[in-house]
Amino acid sequence: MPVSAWIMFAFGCIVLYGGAIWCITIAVKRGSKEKKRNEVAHNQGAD
Amino acid sequence: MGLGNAWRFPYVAYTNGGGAFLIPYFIALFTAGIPLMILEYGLGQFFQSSAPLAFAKIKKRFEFVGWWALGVGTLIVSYYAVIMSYSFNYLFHSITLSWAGREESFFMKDFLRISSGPGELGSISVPILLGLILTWLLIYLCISKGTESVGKVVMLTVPLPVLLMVVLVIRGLTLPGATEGLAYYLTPDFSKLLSPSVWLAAYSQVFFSLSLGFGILIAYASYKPKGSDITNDAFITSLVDAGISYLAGFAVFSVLGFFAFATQRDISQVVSAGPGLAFVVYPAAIAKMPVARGAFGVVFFLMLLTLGIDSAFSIVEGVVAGIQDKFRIANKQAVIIGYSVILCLVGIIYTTQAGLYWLDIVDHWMNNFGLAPVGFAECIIVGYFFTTDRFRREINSVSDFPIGKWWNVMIRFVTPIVLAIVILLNIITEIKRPYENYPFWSTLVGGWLLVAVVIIVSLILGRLKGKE
Repeated sequence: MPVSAWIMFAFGCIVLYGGAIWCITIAVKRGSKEKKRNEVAHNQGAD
Repeated sequence: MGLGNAWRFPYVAYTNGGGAFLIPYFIALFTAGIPLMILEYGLGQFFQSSAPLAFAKIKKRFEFVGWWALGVGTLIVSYYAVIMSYSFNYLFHSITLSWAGREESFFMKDFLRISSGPGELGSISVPILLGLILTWLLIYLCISKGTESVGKVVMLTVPLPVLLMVVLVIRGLTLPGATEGLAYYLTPDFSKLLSPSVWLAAYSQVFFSLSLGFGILIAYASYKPKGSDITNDAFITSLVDAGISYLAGFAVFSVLGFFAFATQRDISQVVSAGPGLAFVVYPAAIAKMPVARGAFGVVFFLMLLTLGIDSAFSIVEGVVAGIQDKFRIANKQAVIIGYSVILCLVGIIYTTQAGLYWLDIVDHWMNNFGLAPVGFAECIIVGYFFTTDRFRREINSVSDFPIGKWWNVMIRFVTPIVLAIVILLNIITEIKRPYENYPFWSTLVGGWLLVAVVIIVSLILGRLKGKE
């Protein structure tokens, strides 16, 4: 395959798969933060 | 993931020269796909209503844009169901691998019994008609259970196709000639960047695959809880969707490379490009599996079918929500049944021997001159009548990573200008040279006339007074 094809291959992988993994990581972190916040609120309510 | 990834992306990429298509596709994804997805998610979440009502809340006179989007979606789902019917039939053909060794001739001659042109309708194919009826029955069953069941169905039907696609990529890459196929898929052809049709095909593919301009995302986002991270959701959806299309490209183009190797022909000439490509290339890859070919074929087409159902019922859900919002019809079941029966009847044209020609024409016009203009209208409305700054502030208040002023620039200038230029240049091209050399009358009826009818009906519905 020509070099330009390899560049396109790498570009697609980094941008699409790398970008998706990065965004999913942010979403997971947000989810766990919200879960912790809800647990704290729940515990405070129980007290 | 839907048919946009597994069925449409490979054929549009092949028709537009493989590597020549990828650069416009990536540009379209970032200049229109992601910005418009943020816009549609935002509209749905803030207005908590279907597409027509969301636009009406900006200004009553823009309600027709919502109906226009739903009208285009309606015509798309009319042939979408036929692609699913093909999958139904191929599911049974997989048991005996009826196509093995003669995939293209099986699809065109044995399965479709294709006629010589769109004017020669011939007879209705009973297996395709039965598949169409079964497809609509399935869509009805899924959607009548409500959006909660939609979530459950999607959870079940999305991960497995990705896994199957990976298996097909591995099989494709190990075939002789696969490297030539990948070189065709990935090598950029900068001379093609001057062709407006390649750009419009790329933008339309992004619209189709991400379901932009259908009104679906607005309806679905209206069910999202207030405070959902719109920006990140839009990025995840767009990047994952494009990533799956990109992956499907590897599966299809490696097999095309094998075809070129086996027939000693140029890769651009090995199969007829068009909507039938997926039903030639995937079966060929399945027939080359070392073991359990029949079982793999059954599972693959079952998955293709469920992918189609995911996409189809989202379109139907968007339209039903629009009709219910406008006319305050409490009986959702009646609306779904009426809509499904009408579209099943409309779909009969695609079950004839000329069905694939009509499917190709309607697909081309609805995507290029339906979805893309709706996207253009959305940019203008939000960019100039709702103020992008206000909209961006609202989105940033609930999102983890804020969108910058680049989004304003995209929605107000870049996306509408690019869309306007490529649409206009393509209209001129289509008038000069009919698409795929179809007879002019057929493109007039299945293309321009349908586009005009959708706009006129949308304008009428937009002006009609809804029930309060």
